[in-house]
Amino acid sequence: MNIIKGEKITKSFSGLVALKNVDFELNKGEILGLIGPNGSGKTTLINVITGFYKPTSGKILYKNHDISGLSPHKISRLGIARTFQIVKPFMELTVLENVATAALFGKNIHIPKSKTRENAKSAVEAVGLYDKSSYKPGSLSIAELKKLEIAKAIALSPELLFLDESMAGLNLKETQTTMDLILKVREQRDLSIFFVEHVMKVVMGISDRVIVLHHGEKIADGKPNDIVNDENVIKAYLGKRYKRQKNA
Amino acid sequence: MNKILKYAFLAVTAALVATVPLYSGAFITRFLIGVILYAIMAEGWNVIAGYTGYPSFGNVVFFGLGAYITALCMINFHTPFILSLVFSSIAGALFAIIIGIPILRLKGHYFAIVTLGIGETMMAITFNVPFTGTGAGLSLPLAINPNLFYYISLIVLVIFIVFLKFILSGRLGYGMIAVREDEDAAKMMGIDTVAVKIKAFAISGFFTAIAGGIYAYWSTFIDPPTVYDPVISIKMIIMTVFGGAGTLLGPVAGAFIIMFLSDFLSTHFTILHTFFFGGLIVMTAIFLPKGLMDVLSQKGIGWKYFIENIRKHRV
Repeated sequence: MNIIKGEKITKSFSGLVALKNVDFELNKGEILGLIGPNGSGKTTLINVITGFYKPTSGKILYKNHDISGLSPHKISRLGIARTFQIVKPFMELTVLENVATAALFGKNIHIPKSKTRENAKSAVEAVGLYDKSSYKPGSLSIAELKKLEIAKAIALSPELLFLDESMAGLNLKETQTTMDLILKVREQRDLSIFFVEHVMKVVMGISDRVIVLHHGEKIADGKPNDIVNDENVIKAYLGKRYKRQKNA
Repeated sequence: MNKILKYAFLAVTAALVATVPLYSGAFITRFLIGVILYAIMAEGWNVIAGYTGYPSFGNVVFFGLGAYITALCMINFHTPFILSLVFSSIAGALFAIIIGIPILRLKGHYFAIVTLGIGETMMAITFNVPFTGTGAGLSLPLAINPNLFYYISLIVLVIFIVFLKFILSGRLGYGMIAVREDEDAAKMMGIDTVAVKIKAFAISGFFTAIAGGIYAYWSTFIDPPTVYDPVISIKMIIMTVFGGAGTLLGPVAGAFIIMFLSDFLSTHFTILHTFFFGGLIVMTAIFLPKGLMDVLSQKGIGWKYFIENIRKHRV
């Protein structure tokens, strides 16, 4: 059963077509990876789904309800959360306050305030930032900021989570812990995850399925292993080097 | 022990504040009424700018509107003073909502520029509309007891602070701070950012308009250049920033200190006084960008704190 489904999504910016008839589907509990070269429309697709842009045409169905064109705060309240590629922490608040603010909103908007505090703490714990609860984001590393971004997203109690390049700028070890973290939160919180990523190790490591965008069009959709052997994908994105590396 | 001392200090301060006009004499009472009215306005600016991150440069528009509504009610309909203040406050909040709906969609700088224009526009309208007395201004009936203004202003300030504290502990307060910190992130959290901004602006307009109404009756005469004076907006900003934008009591402290310094300098150093505000803005922006309250919250303050401020906030 799908949790979200996009039908023929097109987005153009005064003549420049950023997305062209993109279809996609994400099943409940699935981790779907989205890859493609820079400028292929990955972040635009997330922005369209989460309401930051209105699609020029096409439909987005979340649990069979049409959400295309709704404003971001309404979409968020339905149980869709996202992280931003360029992290957006609240600089003047501590880590815990950042997450506690998130815990008041999203799907929790109608829960009494006193009951949201626990949720905030458990989200901070889940990403492993508990020791830094009272730090301000200014003193965190990039890896920790990305974790904070994830903590804020899961504190909203979403059912569907979009991760926009949560691994960019992380070293190998940090990448590994973040991958483990994503798998862990999916288990614990019964999440469906849609993530954009450039690091192929991550894409191969955690996706159940992968879709590939190129010049705003979907050129492939399938199991990670099939994707990396797809001639079109190799030509458009992975390059011959990747194929050689794999064969070596 | 510490706690007892703290409560004792608070009790003494409260008693002092509550009884000052009874023995201080007209001059000091007059000065304090000015301080409290500015404290209300500075706190009003703090709600929209300090907490929500939308720097309004035209908050004087609510002050002027409040002053005129109270004046017109009292002159034309002989409405009791308190009821006139209620009308003023409602008008202030409604006006904030009406202008807020279009202009709060603008980002920071553009919002600031538009608010500047609104103050000037309202002044021009008041000059030209017949029922506001145009440029000749309006004279209000004389109040019998001058201490009345002290107590009414004080009560309004206390209500405002308690109300704001309550707001800040709820979803609206967190929403305001989230909007200030990052509006896109706030939206994606499910915060209706437009609604949050409009509510904050309405609170700001509501209380600033009451200050205007009290001022009108207190001064017994108002005309457009006095109550729509852009310098009033500037003072609210300086007081809030100096005291600590985004802190509950910063604007009150700022209003008191700046009114005191301003009064002192203007009587003792007439020429130097004109440099005072300019110099204070520059020094505050460089050394105390987070205001006095941040200084007080630091443990062990030294020159390092000020150097750090310069380093942190430069481009």
